[in-house]
Amino acid sequence: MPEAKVQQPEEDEQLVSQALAGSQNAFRKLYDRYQKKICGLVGSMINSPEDTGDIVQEVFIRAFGSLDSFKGASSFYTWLYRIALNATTDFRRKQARRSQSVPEQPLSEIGRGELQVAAPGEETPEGELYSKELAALVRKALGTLGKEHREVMVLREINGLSYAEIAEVTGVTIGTVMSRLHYARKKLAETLQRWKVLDQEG
Amino acid sequence: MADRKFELTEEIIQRYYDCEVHGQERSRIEEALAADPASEEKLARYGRLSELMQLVGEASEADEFTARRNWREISARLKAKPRSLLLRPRFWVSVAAAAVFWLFFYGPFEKAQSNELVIESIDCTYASFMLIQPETETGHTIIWLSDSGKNGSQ
Repeated sequence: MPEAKVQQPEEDEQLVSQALAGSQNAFRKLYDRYQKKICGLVGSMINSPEDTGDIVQEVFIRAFGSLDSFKGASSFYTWLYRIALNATTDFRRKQARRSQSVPEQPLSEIGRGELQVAAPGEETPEGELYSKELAALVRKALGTLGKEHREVMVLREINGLSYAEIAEVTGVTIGTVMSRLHYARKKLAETLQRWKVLDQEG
Repeated sequence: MADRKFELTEEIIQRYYDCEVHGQERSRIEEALAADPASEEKLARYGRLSELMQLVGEASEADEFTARRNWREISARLKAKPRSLLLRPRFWVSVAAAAVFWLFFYGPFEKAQSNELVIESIDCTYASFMLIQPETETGHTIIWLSDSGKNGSQ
Protein backbone atom coordinates (compact mmCIF):
# COMPACT_ATOMS: atom_id res chain seq x y z
CA MET A 1 0.00 0.00 0.00
CA PRO A 2 1.50 3.32 -0.96
CA GLU A 3 2.36 5.60 1.86
CA ALA A 4 -0.02 8.49 2.20
CA LYS A 5 1.71 11.70 1.28
CA VAL A 6 1.68 14.30 3.99
CA GLN A 7 0.86 17.53 2.27
CA GLN A 8 2.92 20.42 3.50
CA PRO A 9 1.14 23.75 3.63
CA GLU A 10 2.32 25.94 0.81
CA GLU A 11 4.61 28.78 1.64
CA ASP A 12 3.16 32.24 1.35
CA GLU A 13 5.55 33.06 -1.48
CA GLN A 14 4.35 30.05 -3.46
CA LEU A 15 0.75 31.09 -3.02
CA VAL A 16 1.61 34.64 -4.05
CA SER A 17 3.22 33.34 -7.26
CA GLN A 18 0.17 31.23 -8.00
CA ALA A 19 -2.16 34.15 -7.29
CA LEU A 20 -0.09 36.33 -9.59
CA ALA A 21 -0.54 33.72 -12.28
CA GLY A 22 -4.29 34.17 -11.85
CA SER A 23 -5.19 31.55 -9.26
CA GLN A 24 -7.93 32.92 -7.09
CA ASN A 25 -7.82 29.70 -5.12
CA ALA A 26 -4.27 30.50 -4.03
CA PHE A 27 -5.35 33.95 -2.97
CA ARG A 28 -8.23 32.41 -1.05
CA LYS A 29 -5.71 30.35 0.89
CA LEU A 30 -3.80 33.50 1.79
CA TYR A 31 -7.06 35.09 2.85
CA ASP A 32 -7.96 32.12 5.04
CA ARG A 33 -4.52 32.21 6.57
CA TYR A 34 -4.50 35.89 7.48
CA GLN A 35 -8.04 37.20 7.64
CA LYS A 36 -8.31 36.68 11.40
CA LYS A 37 -5.10 38.58 12.05
CA ILE A 38 -6.15 41.38 9.75
CA CYS A 39 -9.58 41.55 11.38
CA GLY A 40 -7.92 41.76 14.79
CA LEU A 41 -5.59 44.50 13.61
CA VAL A 42 -8.22 46.57 11.82
CA GLY A 43 -10.90 46.06 14.45
CA SER A 44 -8.54 47.19 17.19
CA MET A 45 -7.42 50.23 15.30
CA ILE A 46 -10.84 51.64 14.57
CA ASN A 47 -13.64 52.26 16.96
CA SER A 48 -16.29 51.03 14.60
CA PRO A 49 -16.80 47.26 14.52
CA GLU A 50 -19.40 47.54 11.76
CA ASP A 51 -16.81 49.02 9.40
CA THR A 52 -14.16 46.38 10.10
CA GLY A 53 -15.52 44.00 7.45
CA ASP A 54 -15.40 46.67 4.75
CA ILE A 55 -11.84 47.60 5.60
CA VAL A 56 -10.73 43.97 5.70
CA GLN A 57 -12.21 43.48 2.25
CA GLU A 58 -10.43 46.59 1.05
CA VAL A 59 -7.13 45.31 2.46
CA PHE A 60 -7.34 42.07 0.51
CA ILE A 61 -8.50 43.80 -2.66
CA ARG A 62 -5.55 46.20 -2.41
CA ALA A 63 -3.20 43.33 -1.66
CA PHE A 64 -4.37 41.41 -4.71
CA GLY A 65 -4.11 44.51 -6.86
CA SER A 66 -0.51 45.09 -5.89
CA LEU A 67 0.73 41.53 -5.52
CA ASP A 68 3.26 42.18 -8.26
CA SER A 69 4.89 44.80 -6.06
CA PHE A 70 5.51 42.20 -3.35
CA LYS A 71 9.15 41.38 -3.90
CA GLY A 72 9.54 38.85 -1.12
CA ALA A 73 12.16 40.99 0.62
CA SER A 74 9.93 40.97 3.68
CA SER A 75 7.50 38.32 4.77
CA PHE A 76 4.07 38.35 3.17
CA TYR A 77 2.25 39.05 6.40
CA THR A 78 4.32 42.10 7.34
CA TRP A 79 3.61 43.40 3.83
CA LEU A 80 -0.08 42.67 4.34
CA TYR A 81 -0.09 44.37 7.75
CA ARG A 82 1.38 47.47 6.16
CA ILE A 83 -1.48 47.52 3.66
CA ALA A 84 -3.94 47.03 6.53
CA LEU A 85 -2.48 49.93 8.49
CA ASN A 86 -2.66 52.17 5.42
CA ALA A 87 -6.25 51.17 4.74
CA THR A 88 -7.13 51.83 8.36
CA THR A 89 -5.47 55.23 8.26
CA ASP A 90 -7.38 56.11 5.08
CA PHE A 91 -10.62 55.04 6.74
CA ARG A 92 -9.95 57.08 9.87
CA ARG A 93 -9.12 60.11 7.76
CA LYS A 94 -12.39 59.81 5.86
CA GLN A 95 -14.29 59.18 9.06
CA ALA A 96 -12.73 62.23 10.72
CA ARG A 97 -13.79 64.39 7.76
CA ARG A 98 -17.34 63.06 7.96
CA SER A 99 -17.76 63.40 11.70
CA GLN A 100 -16.04 66.70 12.26
CA SER A 101 -19.27 68.29 13.32
CA VAL A 102 -20.37 65.47 15.60
CA PRO A 103 -18.48 65.63 18.89
CA GLU A 104 -17.68 62.27 20.40
CA GLN A 105 -18.74 61.33 23.88
CA PRO A 106 -16.06 62.60 26.26
CA LEU A 107 -13.88 59.71 27.22
CA SER A 108 -13.82 60.78 30.82
CA GLU A 109 -17.48 59.80 31.00
CA ILE A 110 -16.87 56.31 29.74
CA GLY A 111 -16.03 53.45 31.97
CA ARG A 112 -17.81 54.66 35.03
CA GLY A 113 -20.53 52.07 34.70
CA GLU A 114 -20.97 48.97 36.77
CA LEU A 115 -18.58 46.54 35.26
CA GLN A 116 -18.12 44.24 38.19
CA VAL A 117 -20.71 41.73 36.98
CA ALA A 118 -18.64 38.71 36.13
CA ALA A 119 -15.09 37.80 35.33
CA PRO A 120 -14.03 38.36 31.73
CA GLY A 121 -14.17 35.30 29.57
CA GLU A 122 -16.48 33.45 31.93
CA GLU A 123 -18.69 31.26 29.78
CA THR A 124 -21.99 32.64 30.88
CA PRO A 125 -24.07 35.19 29.01
CA GLU A 126 -23.07 37.72 31.67
CA GLY A 127 -19.42 36.82 31.33
CA GLU A 128 -19.59 37.18 27.57
CA LEU A 129 -21.36 40.50 27.84
CA TYR A 130 -18.81 41.66 30.36
CA SER A 131 -15.96 40.68 28.05
CA LYS A 132 -17.56 42.56 25.18
CA GLU A 133 -18.08 45.67 27.29
CA LEU A 134 -14.56 45.45 28.56
CA ALA A 135 -13.24 45.04 25.03
CA ALA A 136 -15.21 48.08 23.92
CA LEU A 137 -13.73 50.10 26.77
CA VAL A 138 -10.19 49.02 26.02
CA ARG A 139 -10.77 49.84 22.37
CA LYS A 140 -11.92 53.30 23.39
CA ALA A 141 -8.89 53.68 25.59
CA LEU A 142 -6.71 52.66 22.64
CA GLY A 143 -8.44 55.42 20.72
CA THR A 144 -6.99 57.97 23.11
CA LEU A 145 -3.50 57.05 21.95
CA GLY A 146 -1.94 58.60 18.92
CA LYS A 147 -1.86 56.59 15.71
CA GLU A 148 1.79 55.59 16.05
CA HIS A 149 1.38 54.38 19.60
CA ARG A 150 -1.82 52.53 18.86
CA GLU A 151 -0.18 50.79 15.91
CA VAL A 152 2.76 49.39 17.85
CA MET A 153 0.50 48.38 20.72
CA VAL A 154 -1.86 46.44 18.46
CA LEU A 155 0.89 44.89 16.36
CA ARG A 156 2.65 43.68 19.49
CA GLU A 157 -0.22 42.71 21.76
CA ILE A 158 -2.79 41.45 19.29
CA ASN A 159 -0.76 40.35 16.30
CA GLY A 160 2.20 39.16 18.36
CA LEU A 161 4.85 40.69 16.11
CA SER A 162 8.43 40.98 17.30
CA TYR A 163 10.10 44.38 17.61
CA ALA A 164 11.93 43.81 14.33
CA GLU A 165 8.71 42.94 12.53
CA ILE A 166 6.90 45.96 13.96
CA ALA A 167 9.80 48.13 12.83
CA GLU A 168 9.45 46.67 9.35
CA VAL A 169 5.70 47.22 9.17
CA THR A 170 5.76 50.74 10.55
CA GLY A 171 9.00 51.82 8.91
CA VAL A 172 10.77 52.96 12.07
CA THR A 173 13.77 51.70 14.02
CA ILE A 174 13.58 49.05 16.72
CA GLY A 175 14.53 51.69 19.28
CA THR A 176 11.55 53.78 18.25
CA VAL A 177 9.30 50.73 18.47
CA MET A 178 10.48 50.10 22.01
CA SER A 179 9.96 53.65 23.18
CA ARG A 180 6.56 53.92 21.49
CA LEU A 181 5.49 50.65 23.03
CA HIS A 182 6.61 51.76 26.46
CA TYR A 183 4.76 55.04 26.18
CA ALA A 184 1.63 53.34 24.79
CA ARG A 185 1.51 50.82 27.63
CA LYS A 186 2.01 53.50 30.23
CA LYS A 187 -0.70 55.76 28.82
CA LEU A 188 -3.14 52.93 28.25
CA ALA A 189 -2.64 51.64 31.78
CA GLU A 190 -3.21 55.13 33.18
CA THR A 191 -6.43 55.55 31.22
CA LEU A 192 -7.73 52.13 32.18
CA GLN A 193 -6.90 52.82 35.82
CA ARG A 194 -8.80 56.06 35.67
CA TRP A 195 -11.77 54.18 34.27
CA LYS A 196 -11.39 51.53 36.97
CA VAL A 197 -10.82 48.84 34.40
CA LEU A 198 -7.30 48.16 35.55
CA ASP A 199 -6.35 48.09 39.22
CA GLN A 200 -4.23 50.86 40.64
CA GLU A 201 -0.51 50.42 40.79
CA GLY A 202 0.48 48.92 44.12
CA MET B 1 29.62 40.12 42.27
CA ALA B 2 29.03 42.51 39.39
CA ASP B 3 25.69 40.78 38.73
CA ARG B 4 24.34 42.19 41.97
CA LYS B 5 24.45 45.63 40.44
CA PHE B 6 22.26 44.52 37.56
CA GLU B 7 19.55 47.14 37.35
CA LEU B 8 16.09 46.26 36.14
CA THR B 9 15.04 49.28 34.15
CA GLU B 10 11.58 49.69 32.61
CA GLU B 11 13.14 49.04 29.24
CA ILE B 12 14.69 45.77 30.34
CA ILE B 13 11.49 44.61 31.99
CA GLN B 14 9.57 45.39 28.83
CA ARG B 15 12.04 43.59 26.59
CA TYR B 16 11.94 40.60 28.90
CA TYR B 17 8.16 40.61 28.88
CA ASP B 18 8.10 40.79 25.09
CA CYS B 19 10.54 37.86 24.80
CA GLU B 20 13.16 40.10 23.23
CA VAL B 21 16.01 38.96 25.48
CA HIS B 22 17.87 35.71 25.15
CA GLY B 23 20.49 33.53 26.71
CA GLN B 24 22.54 34.93 29.51
CA GLU B 25 20.73 38.23 29.64
CA ARG B 26 17.48 36.40 30.18
CA SER B 27 18.88 34.42 33.10
CA ARG B 28 20.29 37.55 34.70
CA ILE B 29 16.96 39.30 34.41
CA GLU B 30 15.14 36.33 35.91
CA GLU B 31 17.48 36.32 38.86
CA ALA B 32 17.06 40.04 39.36
CA LEU B 33 13.28 39.77 39.09
CA ALA B 34 13.17 37.07 41.73
CA ALA B 35 14.89 39.45 44.11
CA ASP B 36 12.76 42.48 43.27
CA PRO B 37 9.03 42.23 44.02
CA ALA B 38 8.33 45.72 42.66
CA SER B 39 9.69 44.75 39.26
CA GLU B 40 7.75 41.49 39.37
CA GLU B 41 4.62 43.53 39.97
CA LYS B 42 5.42 45.66 36.92
CA LEU B 43 5.75 42.49 34.90
CA ALA B 44 2.41 41.26 36.20
CA ARG B 45 0.79 44.54 35.16
CA TYR B 46 2.10 44.07 31.63
CA GLY B 47 0.38 40.70 31.74
CA ARG B 48 -2.95 42.17 32.85
CA LEU B 49 -2.77 44.80 30.13
CA SER B 50 -2.08 42.09 27.57
CA GLU B 51 -5.14 40.15 28.74
CA LEU B 52 -7.28 43.23 28.17
CA MET B 53 -5.74 43.77 24.75
CA GLN B 54 -6.49 40.16 23.88
CA LEU B 55 -10.15 40.83 24.56
CA VAL B 56 -10.08 43.58 21.94
CA GLY B 57 -8.40 41.28 19.45
CA GLU B 58 -10.89 38.48 20.05
CA ALA B 59 -13.85 40.83 19.85
CA SER B 60 -12.56 42.12 16.51
CA GLU B 61 -12.10 38.72 14.87
CA ALA B 62 -14.68 37.81 12.30
CA ASP B 63 -16.76 34.71 12.99
CA GLU B 64 -16.98 31.97 10.37
CA PHE B 65 -20.06 33.45 8.77
CA THR B 66 -18.59 36.95 8.51
CA ALA B 67 -15.30 35.60 7.21
CA ARG B 68 -17.10 33.70 4.43
CA ARG B 69 -19.24 36.71 3.61
CA ASN B 70 -16.13 38.91 3.43
CA TRP B 71 -14.50 36.46 1.03
CA ARG B 72 -17.61 36.40 -1.17
CA GLU B 73 -17.45 40.19 -1.41
CA ILE B 74 -13.73 40.14 -2.16
CA SER B 75 -14.14 37.41 -4.73
CA ALA B 76 -16.97 39.26 -6.46
CA ARG B 77 -14.93 42.44 -6.61
CA LEU B 78 -11.92 40.60 -7.95
CA LYS B 79 -14.04 38.99 -10.65
CA ALA B 80 -15.56 42.32 -11.52
CA LYS B 81 -12.10 43.78 -11.83
CA PRO B 82 -9.90 41.24 -13.59
CA ARG B 83 -6.21 41.80 -13.23
CA SER B 84 -5.71 43.03 -16.73
CA LEU B 85 -2.73 45.12 -17.71
CA LEU B 86 -4.99 48.07 -18.31
CA LEU B 87 -6.02 48.14 -14.67
CA ARG B 88 -2.55 48.27 -13.28
CA PRO B 89 -1.37 51.78 -12.41
CA ARG B 90 2.19 50.67 -13.17
CA PHE B 91 1.22 49.94 -16.73
CA TRP B 92 -0.14 53.46 -17.20
CA VAL B 93 2.91 54.99 -15.59
CA SER B 94 5.07 53.09 -18.08
CA VAL B 95 2.88 54.18 -20.99
CA ALA B 96 3.03 57.79 -19.86
CA ALA B 97 6.80 57.61 -19.47
CA ALA B 98 7.15 56.09 -22.94
CA ALA B 99 4.90 58.78 -24.41
CA VAL B 100 6.91 61.57 -22.80
CA PHE B 101 10.11 59.95 -24.06
CA TRP B 102 8.74 59.64 -27.58
CA LEU B 103 7.46 63.21 -27.66
CA PHE B 104 10.76 64.51 -26.37
CA PHE B 105 12.87 62.76 -28.97
CA TYR B 106 10.60 62.32 -31.95
CA GLY B 107 7.69 64.61 -31.39
CA PRO B 108 6.85 67.87 -33.15
CA PHE B 109 8.71 69.92 -30.55
CA GLU B 110 12.02 68.86 -31.90
CA LYS B 111 11.20 70.11 -35.39
CA ALA B 112 9.78 73.34 -34.12
CA GLN B 113 12.83 74.03 -32.04
CA SER B 114 15.39 72.85 -34.55
CA ASN B 115 17.24 75.19 -36.93
CA GLU B 116 18.08 72.38 -39.27
CA LEU B 117 16.82 72.55 -42.82
CA VAL B 118 14.62 69.72 -43.77
CA ILE B 119 14.46 68.46 -47.34
CA GLU B 120 10.86 67.83 -48.10
CA SER B 121 11.19 67.21 -51.83
CA ILE B 122 13.67 67.45 -54.63
CA ASP B 123 12.50 68.67 -57.97
CA CYS B 124 15.25 67.68 -60.32
CA THR B 125 15.55 67.51 -64.06
CA TYR B 126 18.69 65.53 -63.92
CA ALA B 127 18.40 61.93 -64.82
CA SER B 128 19.88 60.77 -61.62
CA PHE B 129 20.90 62.10 -58.33
CA MET B 130 21.94 60.66 -55.11
CA LEU B 131 21.06 61.75 -51.62
CA ILE B 132 23.65 60.88 -49.09
CA GLN B 133 23.16 61.40 -45.41
CA PRO B 134 26.29 60.09 -43.83
CA GLU B 135 26.45 59.59 -40.09
CA THR B 136 28.72 62.48 -39.33
CA GLU B 137 28.82 64.61 -36.27
CA THR B 138 27.65 67.60 -38.24
CA GLY B 139 24.78 65.62 -39.69
CA HIS B 140 25.15 67.41 -43.05
CA THR B 141 23.26 66.06 -46.00
CA ILE B 142 25.15 65.70 -49.24
CA ILE B 143 23.26 65.90 -52.51
CA TRP B 144 25.25 64.46 -55.34
CA LEU B 145 23.98 65.39 -58.74
CA SER B 146 25.04 63.67 -61.85
CA ASP B 147 24.28 64.65 -65.41
CA SER B 148 25.53 61.40 -66.73
CA GLY B 149 21.95 60.49 -67.46
CA LYS B 150 21.67 63.32 -70.00
CA ASN B 151 24.85 62.31 -71.68
CA GLY B 152 24.07 58.69 -71.50
CA SER B 153 22.26 56.43 -73.89
CA GLN B 154 18.92 58.26 -73.64
